[in-house]
Amino acid sequence: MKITYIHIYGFGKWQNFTLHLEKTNFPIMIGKNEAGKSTIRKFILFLLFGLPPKQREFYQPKTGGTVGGRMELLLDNGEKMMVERLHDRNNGAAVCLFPDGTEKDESCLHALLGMGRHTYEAIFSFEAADLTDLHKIDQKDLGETLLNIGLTGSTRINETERALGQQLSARFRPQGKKPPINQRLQELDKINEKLKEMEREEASYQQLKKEQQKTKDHLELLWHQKETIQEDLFRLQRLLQVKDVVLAYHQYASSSTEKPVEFPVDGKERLHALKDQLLPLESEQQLVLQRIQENEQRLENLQNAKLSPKLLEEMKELSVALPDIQDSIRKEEELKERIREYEYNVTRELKELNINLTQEALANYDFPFFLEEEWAQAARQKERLEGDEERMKEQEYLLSAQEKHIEDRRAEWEDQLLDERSYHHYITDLEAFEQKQRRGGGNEGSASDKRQRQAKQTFGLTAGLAAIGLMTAWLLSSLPVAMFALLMLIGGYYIYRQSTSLGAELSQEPDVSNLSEDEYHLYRNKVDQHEKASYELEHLQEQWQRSSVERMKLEEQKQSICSRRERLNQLIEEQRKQYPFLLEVSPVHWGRLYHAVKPLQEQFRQAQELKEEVASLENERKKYTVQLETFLTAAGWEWNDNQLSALIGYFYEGEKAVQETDRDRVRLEADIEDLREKKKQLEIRMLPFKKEKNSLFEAAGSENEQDFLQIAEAAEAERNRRDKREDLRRQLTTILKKDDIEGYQVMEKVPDYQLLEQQLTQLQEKLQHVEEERDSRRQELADLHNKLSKLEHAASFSEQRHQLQAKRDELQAEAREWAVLQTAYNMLLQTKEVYQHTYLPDVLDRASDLFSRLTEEAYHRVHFHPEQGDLQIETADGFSFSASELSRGTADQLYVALRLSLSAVLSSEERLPFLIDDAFVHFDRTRTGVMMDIIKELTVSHQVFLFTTREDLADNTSGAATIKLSDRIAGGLAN
Amino acid sequence: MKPHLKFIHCADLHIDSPFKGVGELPPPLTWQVRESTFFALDRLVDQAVTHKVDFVLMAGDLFDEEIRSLRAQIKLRDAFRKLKDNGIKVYASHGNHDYLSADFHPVTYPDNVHVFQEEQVTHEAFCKNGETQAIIYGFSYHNRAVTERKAAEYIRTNDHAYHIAMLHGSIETNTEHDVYAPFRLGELKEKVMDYWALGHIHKRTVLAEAPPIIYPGNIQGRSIREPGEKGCYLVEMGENGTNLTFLPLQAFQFETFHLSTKAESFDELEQMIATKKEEWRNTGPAIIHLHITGGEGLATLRHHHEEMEELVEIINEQEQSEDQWLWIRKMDIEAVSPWDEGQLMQEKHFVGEMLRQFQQAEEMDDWLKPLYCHRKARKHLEVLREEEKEQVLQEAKDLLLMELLKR
Repeated sequence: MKITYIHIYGFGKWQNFTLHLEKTNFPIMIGKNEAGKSTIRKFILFLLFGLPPKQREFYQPKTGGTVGGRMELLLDNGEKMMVERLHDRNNGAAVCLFPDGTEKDESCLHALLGMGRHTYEAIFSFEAADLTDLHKIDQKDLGETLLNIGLTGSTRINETERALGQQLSARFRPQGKKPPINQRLQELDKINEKLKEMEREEASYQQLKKEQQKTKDHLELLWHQKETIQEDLFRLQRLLQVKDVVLAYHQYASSSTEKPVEFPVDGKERLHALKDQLLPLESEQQLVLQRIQENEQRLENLQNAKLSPKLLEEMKELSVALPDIQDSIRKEEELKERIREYEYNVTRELKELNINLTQEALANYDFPFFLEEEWAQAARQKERLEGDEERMKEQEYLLSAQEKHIEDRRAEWEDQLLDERSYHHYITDLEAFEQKQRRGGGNEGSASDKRQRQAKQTFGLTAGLAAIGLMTAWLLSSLPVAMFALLMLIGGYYIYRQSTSLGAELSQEPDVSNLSEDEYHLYRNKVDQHEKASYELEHLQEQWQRSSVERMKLEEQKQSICSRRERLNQLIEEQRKQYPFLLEVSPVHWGRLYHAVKPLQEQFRQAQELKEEVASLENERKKYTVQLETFLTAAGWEWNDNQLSALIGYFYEGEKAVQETDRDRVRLEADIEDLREKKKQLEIRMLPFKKEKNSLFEAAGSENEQDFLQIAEAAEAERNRRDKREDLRRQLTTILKKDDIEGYQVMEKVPDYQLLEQQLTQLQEKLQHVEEERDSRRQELADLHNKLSKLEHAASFSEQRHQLQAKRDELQAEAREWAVLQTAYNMLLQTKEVYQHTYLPDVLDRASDLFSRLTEEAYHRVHFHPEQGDLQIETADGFSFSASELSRGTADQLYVALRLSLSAVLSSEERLPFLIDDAFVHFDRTRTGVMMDIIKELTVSHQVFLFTTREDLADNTSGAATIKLSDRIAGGLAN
Repeated sequence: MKPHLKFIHCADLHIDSPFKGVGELPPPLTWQVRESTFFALDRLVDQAVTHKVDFVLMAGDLFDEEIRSLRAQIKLRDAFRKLKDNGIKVYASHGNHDYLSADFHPVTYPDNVHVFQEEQVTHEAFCKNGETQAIIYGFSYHNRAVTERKAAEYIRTNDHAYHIAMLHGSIETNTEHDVYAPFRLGELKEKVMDYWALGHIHKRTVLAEAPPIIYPGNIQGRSIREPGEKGCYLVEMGENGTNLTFLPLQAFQFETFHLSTKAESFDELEQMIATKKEEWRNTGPAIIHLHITGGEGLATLRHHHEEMEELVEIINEQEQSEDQWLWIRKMDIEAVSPWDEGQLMQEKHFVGEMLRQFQQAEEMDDWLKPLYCHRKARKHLEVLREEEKEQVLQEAKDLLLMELLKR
């Protein structure tokens, strides 16, 4: 098959592009990188095999237009066929047109090609990219990869194999632990183990059930046993219960043979009735007797305790004297109190007087009635004397001062006297000047006038202001303003008054005139002073005479006072000698002292009197005390204090006791009398009863009550026995069953109770034993029931089983996935092996040839090593090694050799065109030459499209048609 | 004149048997699935009580000998007790799964239960109001297998009553199940019984209508191979003939749904399934197998194992909180291959050779041995059935083509 014409409507960068290839079997497309070589190759593939819609859209030209094109194919049988494919027609399906106009669908094309795109690409298409992929492969995998290239033309198998292998071992490893399936298995084992254990546990259910039945049976048996024992036991218990009754019965039966007893009817009751009535009387009588006895005893005691008559007499006397004594004691106390009071007062007042005088001393002094007058006179005289002396001293002083004053003045005035001559001179001058002065004396007082004027002005001004102020105040009705104005008026007036009065004074001053005015004044002064001094000296002389007289009088008075003093002192001395305590007291106070001391002395004396009185009272008391003590001792009354008051207390008590005893005695005597009377009455009342009682005793044939009662007892007992026996018999027949009575012959003889008790104990023990057994069985049964119930309701076993199944299901699913992978993996290996046997030898033969040519005979053979599963390379000298040891460059050459060989083998039947896209771009010149030769050999049977960047390739190749793509694009656009 | 008779016919209760192929579920669903046989049993009892039936027939396989579940026996006993409380009798026989010589727990049933203990067919009268109203015939398996024909042993008595025969076995033409106590339909019809209460086959089947010869099926589906509603028959016999009513009892169903789609991505697929699921929900709780068919777009999806699992997880995510839950257990995708296998197989190329090799996968069993015959795994794994192997092979082929031919 050959492509003779290509028309691209639009595909990637190509649009409306045509190629005519009828003449060549080896078109070489030359273009730089990105020139669109690969796009043309893709277009050819697209037309032949189609593309999915998304990829078709990818080739949409940028400038718009349809994706698609057509190709003319020259078939091997010489027929021509046009294939057209459009993106938007029939979902990108191809249409085959034949020259005769017939139109066929894509299946025709498929039949013609006989393979899918993948196969085609693997066989007929080479790319530089394939080698790049090869370079990505690890060195160690290289051999295997190259082998796979030899097998399929691509590395895909290898990749798939590896991926599958990895997936398989990731899921399961026969000896592994980690992969999920292995883990699942472990999990399952664990559950299985648990399940087995649970199964064993549940298996015990059967055993337990059996035990349960056995226990139930046993319990049933025990119940029957218990019933029987209990029946026996009840019978025995009944018999034993009535033991007392049976015994009593037999006892009564055996003791009823005594003779009958005669006895009055109801004798005992009647006796009792009598006794009932007698008894209170008797007891009362008894009581009365007892009380009489008691009272007599007490009376005797009282008699014994009585005092002797002499003592009683004494006691009366003492008793009579007692109130006086008590009065005197009280009085004594009073008096003592008063004495203390007096003494205290006297002492206190003496102390207050602060004189050297004691109470005792005071008592020794005499204070006659005139003494008071004498002391008072002395005081008055002293006072008067001292007053006179004082006055006299004062007069003397005044007189001396007066005399001194007179002397001083005389000296002063004598200094101011002028001599006679100058006096006359001055008189003359003065008279002359006075003459002249009387004529021109109008200018005087001008200064005062001026001051008066000023004052008037000030007053006027203030009065005016005050008037305005008042006016304003009136207008404004303001009190403060009016006040202010008034104050101003008053202030102004005051200033005015001051000024005018000063002026008046000044104007009254006398004026002296002289020759000149100053001289006049000087002279005038001197003259005046002289005249005045002369006058004064005269006057002083008179005064001097008067004071001398005075002095004489004073001397006389002085002498009289002295004599008075002497007399007074004498008097004082006299008194002080008589009353020494006056020494410390000024006579002035004597009068008052008399009044203080005199009452004190009086008080002291009173106190002394009182003391005497007290002494007499004490005497009296002591006498009484002695009497009292003597009496108390004689009477034998209790006393233990010799204080009178205490003794009196004891005496009182004793006296009271004596009186009390007297009263008791009288009362007791009366009581005894009463009781005796009562006793007599009781005896009378008892008499009839006693008679009755005696008659009863006679009837019973008994001597006394004791006998009577014994006989009564015997009769009663006999009757009771009879009744009782019958009663017991009835009881026994009701309590015991007939069988019991007959079986044990209860009525005939006394049963052997010891034996019965023994039997009872035995039975009880047996019963207890059975009960215990039953309890334990019941417990067992309950336990069993619990266990069974637990097993019956345990859901965990069921759960585990379900879980096991669930996990098994998961395992099943996982295993199935594994099975798919495992099958795929093994199938791949198997196919590989078959393939190796069928095609590989042929492929390797061809490859050896090509490889040796490409390597310039360096290597001479490529072969498969079945044991190692690897390609082996043989060098020209016969040395073999693994393909994985090849260098990259050599590996590339081997790759190309293998690819071309595979293609040759596989394409021998299919004559489809090859598409080679820069597959040996990196080969050197020599190798490129060899490659071109090899390709040329291909062109004999196949059309070969070579896409390359190297323009030189076409030059050395005959039969090749060179198409330069850059030109074509330009041309294409031009078209 | 025959009296009115009302009874329930059920069989193959398989109480507390684990479910095959359900896998692990979230806890609430695990519980529901685990308890489902008990639930179905409870519903059976409820129905018997509600319909006031005279008795209940249980034609064998009440539980599984191999699991020896005490709980199953106890629950059954409790159910019987409840029936007794409601005055309902029970006639039961043992089948091949609960055969009498098996090692059971000694659970005593109440006295309203009559179990046909003999291996030979015996009969038991059902009396009501003092008169015999029905004669019930039956036998029990004493061993795992009963291979002799049993039909001949059914001899009709002369009682004027309904004659009802219980038989646990399979029609001899049946090849799907183990053939036990085989019979031909004609044989049964000859016996002039009024009702044949069969057991053993889990699929509900009415073999004949006059007289009714019926497999009620099991009361709860146990695997994806037992789909649809499961339950018992309420049988009413009277003057006007026999009236049959099927009463569903299952706690949940197994269902396989087929879907065809144009979806090409997981998102589209998810959306479509989510929509469909709401339509299916009214069938009640179910465990679902999805079979999805689609175009080339889908073909590429099916080999993305992880994404497929994730998709199922997402779809199932909310189900545990649903009352009417739908749990997708499995999702198969069947898609048109993007390549022509027939053509590929003709080629000399590796893929062609591989496809040719697939036609004669004789060594497959050996390949699977490492896991399926693994010491630990083999006791848990069921050997792949032929059709399963076929599927595995097909999937392996798909996988390889996908890997080798993808671009």
